[in-house]
Amino acid sequence: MTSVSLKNISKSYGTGKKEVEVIKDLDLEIISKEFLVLVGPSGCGKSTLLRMIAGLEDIKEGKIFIGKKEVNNIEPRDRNIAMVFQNYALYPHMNVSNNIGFGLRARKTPKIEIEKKVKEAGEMLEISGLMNRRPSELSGGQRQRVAMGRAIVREPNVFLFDEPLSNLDAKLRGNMRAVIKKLHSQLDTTMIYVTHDQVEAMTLADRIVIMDGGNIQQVGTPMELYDTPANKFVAGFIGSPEMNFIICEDGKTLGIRPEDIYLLKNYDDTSNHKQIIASIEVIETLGPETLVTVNYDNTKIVAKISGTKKFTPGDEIQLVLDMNKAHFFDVNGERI
Amino acid sequence: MNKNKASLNPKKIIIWTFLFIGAVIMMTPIIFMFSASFKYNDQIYDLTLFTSDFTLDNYIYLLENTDFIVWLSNSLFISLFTTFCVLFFDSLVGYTLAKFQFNGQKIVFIAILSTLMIPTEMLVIPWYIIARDFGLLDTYLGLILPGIMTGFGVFLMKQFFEGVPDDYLEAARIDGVGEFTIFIRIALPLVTPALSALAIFTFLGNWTAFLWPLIVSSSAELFTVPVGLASFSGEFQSDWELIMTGAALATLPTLLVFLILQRYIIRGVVLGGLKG
Repeated sequence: MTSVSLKNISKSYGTGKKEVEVIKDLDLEIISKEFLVLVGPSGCGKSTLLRMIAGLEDIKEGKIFIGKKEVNNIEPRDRNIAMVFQNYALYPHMNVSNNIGFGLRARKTPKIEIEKKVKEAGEMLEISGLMNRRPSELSGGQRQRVAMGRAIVREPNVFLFDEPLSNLDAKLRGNMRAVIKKLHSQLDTTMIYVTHDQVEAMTLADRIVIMDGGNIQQVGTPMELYDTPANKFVAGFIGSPEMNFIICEDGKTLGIRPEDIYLLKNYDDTSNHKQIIASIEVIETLGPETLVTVNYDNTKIVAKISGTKKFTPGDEIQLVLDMNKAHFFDVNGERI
Repeated sequence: MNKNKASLNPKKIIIWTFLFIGAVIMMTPIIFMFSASFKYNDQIYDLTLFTSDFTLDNYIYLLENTDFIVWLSNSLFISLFTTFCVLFFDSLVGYTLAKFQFNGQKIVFIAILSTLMIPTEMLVIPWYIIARDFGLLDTYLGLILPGIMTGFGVFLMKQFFEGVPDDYLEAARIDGVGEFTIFIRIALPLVTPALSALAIFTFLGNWTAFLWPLIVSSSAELFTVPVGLASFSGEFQSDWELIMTGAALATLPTLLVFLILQRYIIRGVVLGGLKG
């Protein structure tokens, strides 16, 4: 039962003219037991924020609370947190079971208890057969499981994940997402997860925090962010392929997701739609659907058309935008 | 490809020739040293390798009638103790310089580095004055103290610790161990090649050290092997056969070190070439 609160956090590197502000006066409440994902492009400050919660970066302005306790001046080891690193950071000279048990040995846990916990974690993560191997003898996915095992045995109040899946290939990433999701429901602990991958954010999170340029752009559940993005940045970041933006005559921007664009002949609800004619530029066949990039008034628009249809580049195509799903943004990019 | 054909290419023949010449040049004095240790005094200037009058008298004399055993144990104690100190202090300083940020860090590093440019010959006079003022002349402490930290070792260890990713140390910090334990349990095991190389360099350097032990020690029971052997060489006469015998005996520990740590010393020399 541990919440994490960040109050007025600022962070900058360097001094004088070289000073770069990476986090700007940020407030965030992380609810106990929730799976919170910090997502944003590289350099947005998400990893720095996580490292500040871990105690690996010092806090010059603002306060961080873990539970009810202010942790600004508390060492990482006394914060009762565990962290999984992007490059695993398994101790290369120790075998798997010593890697997992290291934190417990450091805390003078009785030997029998260490053995028991290491065994349990091994079974939970399906790495029981690898206990005597060195990290160099493991595959990327296995290393990541060991890194998670090392976090689990400590039974921390808060789990921190720093882009844990970004060194894995796409298929393995999918598997590990499921492992992490299962872990969260089994352990029922607060987890804070940093990633630049919006698919990971959407699939794992109870709530997502989207960051850009050291600021929080929006906080919400995955569907809130998808359905009602607060600004153009969020709208463009969440969803794949990216939302289409069409500049209107009055300076406003119309945003429409590729999945909300249809072929005219497939579209029967005519209550609120906009019909356009555009020429086809690129066709990408995905199997169940086809991505068609068209040129409409010198704006590139991507439509996700279900099924496989025969299209030819250069052809004119009639499309319908479902205006019930359209988003509008003002000149500053804020949602209207 | 035929293996024999490959070994016959002219480039390899030239390389092997040079290596062979180098080996002969390096080995000749050592072979003569061993050869001389089995000769009587009057045959010493006769440069034949194998004498007809083969004798072990020199060995017996050296071990029974001189303090050679004492010198050997002095050398062993001083070399081992100094090596241990150098490994500990140099890696500690190197680690601190590589992994922590503090004011004046660069100045400290440059100061340590600049000591590399000062040869021992220049240092012995200040060392002597300091040792005299602290009453350390003719003591073990006086023999050992100047060598317990080296600028070279600090530099070597710093370079290696810089190659250790911070993530390991941060993971350990979160896992709950203190900074000194992180150094001992995580950082040090990751730089064992550098430690072995430094151990070998330091041990051999101290084993063969002559100038400072000669200056600081005056009583025979504090002599190291090189200083003790030098005492056989007088103004009018040198007992070459005893010097050669002592030198031959003194080679054995270094030979042993080499045989045991062979893979590391070769790696160590390569490292020295790159980083030193």
